[in-house]
Amino acid sequence: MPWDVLGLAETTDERAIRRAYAARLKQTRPEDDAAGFVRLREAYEHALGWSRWQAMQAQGGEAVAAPEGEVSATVVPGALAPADELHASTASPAAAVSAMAETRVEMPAQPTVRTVWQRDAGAPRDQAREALRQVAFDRDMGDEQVLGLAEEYGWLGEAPRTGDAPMEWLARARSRCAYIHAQKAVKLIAAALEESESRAVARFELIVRASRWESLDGRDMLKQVLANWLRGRAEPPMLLLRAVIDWAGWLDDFHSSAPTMAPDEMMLCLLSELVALPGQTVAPAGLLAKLERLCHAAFAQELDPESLLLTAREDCWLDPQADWTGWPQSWLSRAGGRVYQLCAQRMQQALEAADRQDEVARMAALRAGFDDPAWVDGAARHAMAERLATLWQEESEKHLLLWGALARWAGWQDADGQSCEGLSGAAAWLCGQLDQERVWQRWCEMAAAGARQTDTDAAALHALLQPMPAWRQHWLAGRFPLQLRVRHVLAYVEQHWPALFARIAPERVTFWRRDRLSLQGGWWHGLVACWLPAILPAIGILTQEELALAWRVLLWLATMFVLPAALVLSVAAVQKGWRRLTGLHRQPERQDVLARAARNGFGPLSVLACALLATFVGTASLAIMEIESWLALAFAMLAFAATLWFWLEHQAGKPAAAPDEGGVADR
Amino acid sequence: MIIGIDLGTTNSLVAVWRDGQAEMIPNALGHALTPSVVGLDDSGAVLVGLAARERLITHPQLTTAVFKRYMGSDRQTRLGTQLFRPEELSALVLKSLKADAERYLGEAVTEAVITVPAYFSDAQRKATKIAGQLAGLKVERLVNEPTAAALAYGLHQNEPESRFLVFDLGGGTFDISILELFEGVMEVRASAGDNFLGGEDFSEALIDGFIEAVGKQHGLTDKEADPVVYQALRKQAEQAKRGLSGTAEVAMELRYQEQSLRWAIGEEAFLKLCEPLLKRLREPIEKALRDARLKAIDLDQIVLAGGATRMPAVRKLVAKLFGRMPAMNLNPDEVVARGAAVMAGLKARDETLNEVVMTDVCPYSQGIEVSEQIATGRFQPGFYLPIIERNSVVPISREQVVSTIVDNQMALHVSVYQGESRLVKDNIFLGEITIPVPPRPAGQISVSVRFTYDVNGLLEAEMTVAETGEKHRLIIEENPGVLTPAEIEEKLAALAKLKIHPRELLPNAQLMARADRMFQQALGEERQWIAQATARFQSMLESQEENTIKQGRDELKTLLDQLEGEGWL
Repeated sequence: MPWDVLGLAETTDERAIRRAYAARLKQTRPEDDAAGFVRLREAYEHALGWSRWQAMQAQGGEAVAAPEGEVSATVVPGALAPADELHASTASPAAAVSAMAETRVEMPAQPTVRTVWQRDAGAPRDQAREALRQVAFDRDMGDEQVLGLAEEYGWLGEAPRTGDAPMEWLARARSRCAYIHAQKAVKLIAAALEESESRAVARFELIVRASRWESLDGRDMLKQVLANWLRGRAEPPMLLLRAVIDWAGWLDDFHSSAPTMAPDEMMLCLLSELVALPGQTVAPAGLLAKLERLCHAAFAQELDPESLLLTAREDCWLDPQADWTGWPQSWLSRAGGRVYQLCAQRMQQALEAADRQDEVARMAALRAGFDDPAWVDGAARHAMAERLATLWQEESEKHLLLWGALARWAGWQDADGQSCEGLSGAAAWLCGQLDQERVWQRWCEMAAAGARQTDTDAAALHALLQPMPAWRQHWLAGRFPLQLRVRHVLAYVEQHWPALFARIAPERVTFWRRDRLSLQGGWWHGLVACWLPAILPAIGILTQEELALAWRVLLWLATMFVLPAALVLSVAAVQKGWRRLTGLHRQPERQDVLARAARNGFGPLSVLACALLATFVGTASLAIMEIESWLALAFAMLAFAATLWFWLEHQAGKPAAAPDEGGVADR
Repeated sequence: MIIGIDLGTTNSLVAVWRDGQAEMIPNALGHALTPSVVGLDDSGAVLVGLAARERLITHPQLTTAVFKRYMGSDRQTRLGTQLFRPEELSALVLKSLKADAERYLGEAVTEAVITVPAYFSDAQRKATKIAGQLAGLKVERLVNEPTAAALAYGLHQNEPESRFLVFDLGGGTFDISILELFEGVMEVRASAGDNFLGGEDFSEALIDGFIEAVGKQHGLTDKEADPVVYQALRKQAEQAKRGLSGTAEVAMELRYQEQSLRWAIGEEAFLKLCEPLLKRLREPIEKALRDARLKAIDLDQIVLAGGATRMPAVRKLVAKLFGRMPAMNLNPDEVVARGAAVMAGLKARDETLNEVVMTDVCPYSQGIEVSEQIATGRFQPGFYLPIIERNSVVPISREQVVSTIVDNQMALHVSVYQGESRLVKDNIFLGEITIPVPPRPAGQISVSVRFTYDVNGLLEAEMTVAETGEKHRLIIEENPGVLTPAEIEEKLAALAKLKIHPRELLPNAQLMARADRMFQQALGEERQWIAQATARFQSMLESQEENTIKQGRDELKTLLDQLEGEGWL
């Protein structure tokens, strides 16, 4: 595409690319056709970048691999090879010089287009040219000789005599001289440093005041050599380092949004910044080592996973508690990212390697990864656990132990198994599963204990979950409050724990859901039950001949209708009163049961009690009747009034059936 | 006809591209340089140029200079009873230049190319455009000053391919541009600079030196306490600076509270005084070279522009930095204006310039504020994400994609900044916009932010939400330093009401102002002479006979020149 815009075939010829660009530019002038120009420019930059990259590929390796020669004694080349982002010339000046020497006899054949600065005046042309060639390309020439020649022809000055040599030669010669001078300067400073650091700083300040280091190129060379030297020292001299950084002005570049620095310089700036931080306790040497390790972890292509993890743990890169102010966040996040990836990979691989069915083995595999350095940070733990949970979500089988361990590790559940708030996605799913299981277990426990307890909930769960003989089940079903509770529990479980509801045996559900009118009919059932024994005295009354007919009829009516009702009501009142006395009605669920019982009817025991009482009262009234029949009448009237009152009261309180808020789950 | 204007801090120039070359246009006094000084005369009419500069000393309340430094801000200057914004003051200078050009060309001029320092920010550029508008000029294009200088130089290059660095040290600004010339393309590779460094700062250094050396002994501690003294000192410093270019030692003299203060300064001492300033020159050069990925040795030529480069101290520094002598083929005062004229010619499609295309760069990075993940799941706001890197060729359009960081994030706040620092708090805020985004988990919504930067250095941002395809635009224009269209109308009306001192009477006004100023500065006998000569000239002026006036003017000028030496520009 870019080549089409330029109208070129793919080429590494920079000149051709430029020419094509220039030709097209005259048709698409930036002020007239902005969009067209933007396209053209992008194509041009792409093409140039590509051709330069190709050229670098072709010859780059050789220059870097060139032997360092005698200079390596003082210049310690950077141990690391920071990646593309720190785009900068990693090649040390030494390499540049040796690369220079490689091409010593290859004279540039084509005539150069560069201008020649100044025609020389004094010395014969050829002589100056030859000298320059030698300095520029002859590697074997001694340093002193180089400097001597440079002095003689004024190459470092403003009016160099070069013959008609191309400017590139002069540039080479100049940088060679600058390199020699810089080496000398470094040696001097190093010697002063042997004595004391302040001496070295003074020496350094003296040296850079020399006019030689005012020229931009010379200065660059000195900066580079100094950076290399300082970086290579095990124990960086901080005072000297600060002086160098101030002089070189690296900090400004370092703080810009897109620093264009060499890695050595960047490392030194970082070091000086870090040492200056308040509360910094680590010695400079330790910091530098830490920095190097971090840089290595962030950028080195070849990584030994074990040592990476080891350093990550030692240096606490991922520890959220650690204070990383002043550190290069991009390096940290890059290194952190790599550690995280590595740990995640290891954990996943270990899990996959373990037998899928063997939960213990899988647990062990999972646990082994828990202590990896990446997981010091809770957020990273969370992310990893979520990743695993998402994978497990798709699996069909359940591994509750494994899940529980993961949830506790990720911090989704505390030690008691309580899930935390605000989870989402796979985490919420996993915790939901675990919660369900926990609830089920508790129910099962309650159910097991329920047989021996008076607690209705436990009994209800017992009735629902525990296997039992059919007669016992029917016997339990006869207990009205229990039946009510069981139904209630069933409704609650169905609504809130559908998954658990599915686990309850379906025949039990249908059994307990069955309608049992006989046991919970209205209080009329009590009445009917009382009636039967009341019939006998009623017949007795009718057959009494001592009384007048009207009295007989009245008494008969009272015995047949009013007496049973009065009995039923009085038993209910006694029951109610007793519960009130014992404080049972204060427990909400009990109160509810009671209210319903009072409204809807009585359990079989109550009915039995009513019937017995009715028989007793009826027989007793017969005996009384002989003496004072008016008392029975009064009793009947009283009972009638009580019935009315009771009935009215319950009509008023009927809709008061409050919904039960999960007595089961709350406990 | 499009004219090219160099609207400088101290001096402004106007030039035009005619017959295949740039021609400087002289002002009413016959000078190419018109001092960027604006003042009101005694009748309240506006005076621009040398006459106003003379009155800086005699009427500091009614006159002002160096207002270019405040372009793009809302600082107001009081002249007499009226308040002026920097745009208005610049507009008055532009108006006077426009009048000169119209007189010279004999036709109405409505379009102009104006130069601005490369390091001018967005607001400053807009203010310059508005100043042109206020002066009745349509600003066809804003050109960076070093680029203009390079254009003027580039056309004189014989080499088919070369790289050169333009070192432009003007009155108030310092700019560096690195240019490459190939196949008729002039490409600016990088520019850098310092908006607050110029020849004026060297004068200030001299004034400070003067006060330190002799002023303090005589009770002169605050240079700005008395504007009359300050302007007199400035003039002395300016002269000393020029003097130091030729001789080994110069003297600064000042009449202060009936005493005559004198301070002699040599070249060495001067160098020492301005060492911090010279140091500040180095930094932008290094930055520009780094951005252009060149070494000093790769440059073919160093070109000087701007009046302050006449100072030997500056030249020496340049020679030392680059290891060679800089080129000085063109008058450094005029080179920027000449370049502006070339640009005007290019703009007007002059056929003599058919083969030249120029591309420029943006001097600052432009970007937005982002939050960076400093550890897994932890974000910290306040980081700067450059979208257009500094020294990219303009016009340019670049895009970066950002995404949400919080689950169910409802809106994205985009703040646009300009600058180079890693943290936005150290950069210059340009504008902001809040765009709504559909709620999704963190990171699922991505928004592409596209910045478009045009040839005039004006920025536009466009945000596109990937999921909905919704587009939002932000045109950077709300800025306290930039006038709104309504305000421009208002200012235009206000300027139209101002009386302008008649152009043909300017030479007289200038001479009278100079005589006034010299009268104030002189002593004893000299004072008498000046007073007499001024009175004579005054009476001639009243006679209204042109020949007499001309004769009287020459007489007075000769006298003043004798007393003071040739006037400086």
